[in-house]
Amino acid sequence: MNKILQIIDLKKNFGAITASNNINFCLETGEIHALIGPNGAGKSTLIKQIMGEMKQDSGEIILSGINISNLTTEDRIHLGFARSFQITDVISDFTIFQNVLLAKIGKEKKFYNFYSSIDSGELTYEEIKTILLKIDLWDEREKPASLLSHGERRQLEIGIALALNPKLILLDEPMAGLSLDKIEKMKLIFNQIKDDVPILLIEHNMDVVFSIADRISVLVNGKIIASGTSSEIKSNSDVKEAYLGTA
Amino acid sequence: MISEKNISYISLISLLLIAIFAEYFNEPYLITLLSRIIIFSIAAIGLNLVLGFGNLISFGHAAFFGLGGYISGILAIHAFNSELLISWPFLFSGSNNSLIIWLFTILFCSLLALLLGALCLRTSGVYFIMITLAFAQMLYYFAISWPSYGGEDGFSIYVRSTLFGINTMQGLNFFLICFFWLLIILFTINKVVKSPFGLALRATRFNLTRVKSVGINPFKIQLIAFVLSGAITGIAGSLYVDLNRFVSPSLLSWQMSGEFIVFILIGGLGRIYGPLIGAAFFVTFEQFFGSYTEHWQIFLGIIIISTVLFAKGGIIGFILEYRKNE
Repeated sequence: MNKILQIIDLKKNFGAITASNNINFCLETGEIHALIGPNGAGKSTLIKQIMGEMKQDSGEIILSGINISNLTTEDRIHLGFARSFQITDVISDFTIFQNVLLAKIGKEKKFYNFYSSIDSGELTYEEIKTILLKIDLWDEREKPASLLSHGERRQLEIGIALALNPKLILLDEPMAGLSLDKIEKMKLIFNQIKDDVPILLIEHNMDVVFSIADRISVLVNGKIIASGTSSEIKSNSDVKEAYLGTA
Repeated sequence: MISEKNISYISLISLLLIAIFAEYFNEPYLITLLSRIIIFSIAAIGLNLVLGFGNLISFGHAAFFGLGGYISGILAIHAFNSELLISWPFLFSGSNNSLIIWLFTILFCSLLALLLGALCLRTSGVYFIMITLAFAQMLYYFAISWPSYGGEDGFSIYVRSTLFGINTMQGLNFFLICFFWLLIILFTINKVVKSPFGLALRATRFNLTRVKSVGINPFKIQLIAFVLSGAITGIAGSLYVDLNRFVSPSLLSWQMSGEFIVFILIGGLGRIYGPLIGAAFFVTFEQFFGSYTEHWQIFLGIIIISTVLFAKGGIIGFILEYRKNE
């Protein structure tokens, strides 16, 4: 297996509080790697550092061999990062198709193109069709995003992430607020795309994590206390004590 | 069937027909009025690119309108008096050739827009409104206190600039030049708004985080739109000075910036033909009620308030909505 993302000795302090304490972990090709941890464990701080929205105090972040520790968010995205937000964040006045097209335009740096028409269908139409079929929204491509259900918005977010043709996808609580059947649908979508793009999953829903994650890392008080498969994590006594609360 | 497209074709054709009829019935004042409508709508179309499609409320577009006007006026007056404008690095005493005047206008208005945009786009919301206003006011007071070019009184340029030997002093000819510019600019805006760049610009209006997260730098997109917008409004200023053969600081006043915004609001925010409909309505309204009372702006105020309260899509939005409900 190939290491796509590597976090090495990452540290971040806010005054006396240690938000990231020597974090080490990696994301490999073809896997869903879940990052779990109780509230305040430092998950958001870690994600912000990975995305470049916050600067680490020390340590390195490597994306398929390239040290990206000091790059801006924009540069990281061009190198192959994609994320979906904790708060769903699509452009509600755009249609589904336009939302994905915007991402494609950003990725292919076509935003200085003043002459092609976005309605003509010539612009990367087939690629967008493939993506919309994967996230099961092709039939509704002309629907404005404002009319989408919560679950459909989540699907669209995944589509936008895929359009960036990323090396990895960062999903921040993708199942939050979804009904049970929508969760099943999302699981199918994730399993379908993980072979193309590995997924770093931040998720509170333990059933989801244990059923789809290939590997799980547990973050407590800024430190990764365990890393392994579902069964390994389930039986780990440190995790039980610190996280699942059954001492 | 009334669609946005049909409204635009109808308005363009009626402008042209009214001008031809006015020529036929020898009504030069009416042709001047139509030219004014077109020039104002070009100015507001320029503003609409950033205001309507990018949600950047510039309250200082008179700066570009006025700069375009002053450049045209200064070039023309020097050519008329055969006075040197600059003596280094080469001798240049202005020009009364429209092509040269337009070239200078586009160049300088783009540069001003680049400069102002680079500074103002670091702010947003109310601060953006205020800082664009502040820069425009700076230019306004500079023009007032510049004695070489008439100061507060402005100056006259006597004859219109020439284009391919056409007699531009003839009303209909000048109208057609303006009309031609309107077509070019409408075509350009239509193309730009529907291009990938246009999609990115429209996206910056709703959600900057989302735009950044797909790897687009919203500042650059907005800056390019601002430059294009300033150049278009500058061309309008140049034509306006040529129409009136008179340059004055009022071109740069905040009332001018305000009127451009009013054209857009009345016609339909974020619609390609909105400014044209708005300017036509405004100028006609001013003529009609202005002939009864000098306080015609009271009625205009009522219209603006009703637009904001009851017809947010302006005239075009109102018509389209009305047809849908029928």
